[in-house]
Amino acid sequence: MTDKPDQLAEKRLPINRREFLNLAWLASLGFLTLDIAGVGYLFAMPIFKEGEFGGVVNVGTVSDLPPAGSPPANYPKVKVWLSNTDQGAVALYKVCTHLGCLYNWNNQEGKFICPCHGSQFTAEGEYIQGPAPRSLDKFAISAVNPQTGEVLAGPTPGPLPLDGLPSDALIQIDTGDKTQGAPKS
Amino acid sequence: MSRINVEIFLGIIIVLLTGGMILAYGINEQARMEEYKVAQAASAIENGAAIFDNNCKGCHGVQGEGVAGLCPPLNDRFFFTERMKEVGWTGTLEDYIISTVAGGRLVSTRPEQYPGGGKPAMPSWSEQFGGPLRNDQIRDLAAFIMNWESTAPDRETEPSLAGPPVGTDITQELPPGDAANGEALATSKGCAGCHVTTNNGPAWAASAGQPGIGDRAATRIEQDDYNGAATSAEQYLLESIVSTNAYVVPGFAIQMPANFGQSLTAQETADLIAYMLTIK
Amino acid sequence: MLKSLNFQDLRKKAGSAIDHRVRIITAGMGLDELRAVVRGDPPTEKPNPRYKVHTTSFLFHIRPRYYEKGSTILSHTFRLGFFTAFFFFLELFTGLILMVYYTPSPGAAYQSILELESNVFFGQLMRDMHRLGAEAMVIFTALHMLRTYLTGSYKKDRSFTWLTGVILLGITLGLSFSGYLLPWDQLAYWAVTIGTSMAEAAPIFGEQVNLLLRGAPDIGAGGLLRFYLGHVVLFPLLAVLVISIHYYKVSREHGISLPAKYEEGNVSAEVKKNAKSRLDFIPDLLSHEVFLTTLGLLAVVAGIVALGYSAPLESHANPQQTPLDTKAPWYFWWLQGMLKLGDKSVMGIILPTILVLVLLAVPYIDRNPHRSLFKRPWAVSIGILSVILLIVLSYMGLPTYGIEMPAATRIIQDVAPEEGPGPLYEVPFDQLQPGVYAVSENPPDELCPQIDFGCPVFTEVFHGYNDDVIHASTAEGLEPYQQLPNAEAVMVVEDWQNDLRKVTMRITWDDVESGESTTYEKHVFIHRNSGGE
Repeated sequence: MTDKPDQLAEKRLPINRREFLNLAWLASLGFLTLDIAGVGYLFAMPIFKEGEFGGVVNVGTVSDLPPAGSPPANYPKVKVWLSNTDQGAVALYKVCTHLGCLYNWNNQEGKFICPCHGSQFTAEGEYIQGPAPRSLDKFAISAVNPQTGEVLAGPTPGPLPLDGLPSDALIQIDTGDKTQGAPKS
Repeated sequence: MSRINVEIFLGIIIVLLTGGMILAYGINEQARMEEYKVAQAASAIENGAAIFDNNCKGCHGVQGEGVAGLCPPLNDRFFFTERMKEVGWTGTLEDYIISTVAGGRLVSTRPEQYPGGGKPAMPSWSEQFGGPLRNDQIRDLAAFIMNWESTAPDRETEPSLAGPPVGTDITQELPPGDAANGEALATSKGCAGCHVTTNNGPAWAASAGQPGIGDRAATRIEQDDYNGAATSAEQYLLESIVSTNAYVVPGFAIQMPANFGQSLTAQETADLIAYMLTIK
Repeated sequence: MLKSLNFQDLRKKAGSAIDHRVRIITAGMGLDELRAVVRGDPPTEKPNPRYKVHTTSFLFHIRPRYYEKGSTILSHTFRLGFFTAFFFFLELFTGLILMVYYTPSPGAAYQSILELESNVFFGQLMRDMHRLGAEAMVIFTALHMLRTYLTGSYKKDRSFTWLTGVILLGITLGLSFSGYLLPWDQLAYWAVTIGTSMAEAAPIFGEQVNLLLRGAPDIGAGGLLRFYLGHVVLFPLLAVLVISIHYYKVSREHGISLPAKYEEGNVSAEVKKNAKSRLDFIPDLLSHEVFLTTLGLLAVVAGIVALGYSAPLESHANPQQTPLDTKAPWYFWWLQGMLKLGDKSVMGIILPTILVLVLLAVPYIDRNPHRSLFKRPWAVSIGILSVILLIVLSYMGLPTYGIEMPAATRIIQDVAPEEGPGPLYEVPFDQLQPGVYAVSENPPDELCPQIDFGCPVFTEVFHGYNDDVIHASTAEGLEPYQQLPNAEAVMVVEDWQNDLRKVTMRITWDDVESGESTTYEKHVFIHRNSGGE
């Protein structure tokens, strides 16, 4: 080991021009690296177009929806079950919160049952029983004016109340905006 | 300052400039991408226009007005508002166009009105089915046709005539014509799509080497190859409108609708002829 | 016990522990040494700990420990080799990035490029950087080769390095050419069709070579995939291999050459000694290289963001229609010029092959031991002549040379080219007023007097068209194909659809030979929003 006190004394050397410039350069290179990292991230993140899974999807007008209390409507291409419940319309993600299977609607029993491990959920997406850790995930749902695009209600993950909405209002589901279901109690 | 220090100092400036430029470019990215999409949509319409011109106008008309007794109009309000319901199509109109163009039509959906080309009523155009067009070309064509949506007139619903049709007798006496009204009719009846300055039907306007239709009508009947029955400029013009098969100007194929005799009144025809005679 | 805990002692122990860790990471340089590097001070220990990095670190091992001072003179190398390597790595990086969004299939390639430029953040920037970097790499490779030739740095020990360099030139052109096809637009498709058709002209094996390259008699899905794999796998692997050989010899065996005057010129012994003195890589040359790297990056980014460089994209590839004025990429214009001179087997294959063989053999052909410019008159003259010849051939490769396009076609193509930007497309949409505009000896100064703002741009474009027709009609001393006797021409603008106008150009003239009236007509559709192309 070399002489420590001498080294400590050397550390007190004031910063010279070269050192200052080098450190400033390193700082600016750090800034550039962050800049480029940001560019790389934005480049690599996919942008979804309207209608694609991952983007905003139109599922029809308020009048196209199944009446409240009837079996939910299935939108396989965008992996959505659209349930029209007493509190309003809710867009449920078709993927079971257990291990990823697509669950089905059982009309006789009036609930969702997953064929893989038997998890069960209500029409609103609430957990009933089974190995799933939480209730079903929901997508943000909103109603827009079909001509102007103005948002009339929502976006909200919770049930979207349909009273008061014009019958030609367009229902939109944002499949990029997912809210996890409440953990089972 | 020593050379190396100068270099490091310049290096700092360079790095900050580079980072700054990338940042400035990045802030503008969203706007640039939107502008690019708009320009792309415009290019698609341009390409579609050229494809339509090269492939479709013979049956569907230069301006998509259709040919009576042959193929339906596309540049028509009915097409954009009612057609999908008529055939029970559940997708978008654009998909309907792409599907019809790509796959063709074995049998016409309205055989009495628009029998089309026989068997098949409409050929399939996609490369996948033996046609000449790529998928991107069919999409561009659809974009062109969709661009008629905002201005498509009412064609399919025949407007009721204001009087008896003029018929095909070219020797009949026509009432005095109003050239100003004739000019308006030339647009509303669809003549402008082929004739006024366009050279699909012979152009009415004066152009390289020849005078306007007003002067040409008289000299045309003197030509050796003229085989129609007109004996005056007015008769020649009347014949051209209602009796299209009597004489075809050399270099032009018959594409003109043959039923103007039924869809124009005598007064309207007289107005049109008066207008044409003013184009010298 | 606690009282005896000396704070200074703890600091010493912590300091030496950190110092120990740092030495392990940097292979021998402690904190003080690092600070000395940053401060520009001489090494703090003997032996010089900065050299050890070059033995233990892979990245520093392939770099030299020191350079001879004379070899670092800017005007000797202009850092051309460095920048060539820089652009290669830039291409590797941007290329990998672009692979995230590109699909090498004829049905999807063009669309994937449109998607990249319209729906991906920085997609257009990445593509522009890749294209600009590629062109820069070809330029710098050529300049580096020229410099090496002129400074005689290919002689004696460096002969094999020169050989690998010529191979790298071939690989660079191969990378550039194979990448050229990938956008699958008209520009790409036809340039590569011409290039690979030369392969077909090769004696004996031409047809087989053609099929191997394209996977089919003409370029289709097979060709695109083969070119893609060549561009992304084969050529890069070869490049890395040959660059390694090339650079290893420079860095480890014979070093960068000294300017000739230090070896053979009349300089004093002291100057010579100074030129041969060592300049350590760490820290100054490393710092210099980082500086050059950032400079290169700035040049590329500024070229795009500030100067507006943009990678072209014409319309979708159409195997059934070759556009007018089709041309090869600029670094092959010399080849296109040669092809206009004679038989395609000779001009396209045999002569270029001989040229490559001569290039490879330059160090073995050149018996002159001297490196100085003044002592190699033959070598220098041949070098300069070759460059001039290359420029002349490149000019001959341009589409306007040697192709007798009929005057009417040429005039209309100049106004509204089939592909790419043109004067007519630059006219603001509102200035394209519908009407019939006839060509005459005295065209009006303002074509649209009926609107307040007039149509100056459109008027100017029309005047260009007008003057071209009048010139072809009346000028003396024109070739027959350039003449349009008794020409009459119009430009007709019509409203065609919402925001869409049709422009027709029609020229009628008397055929030079038969005297018959001939007409040539072309129309284009222009939309309000379609930009300049």
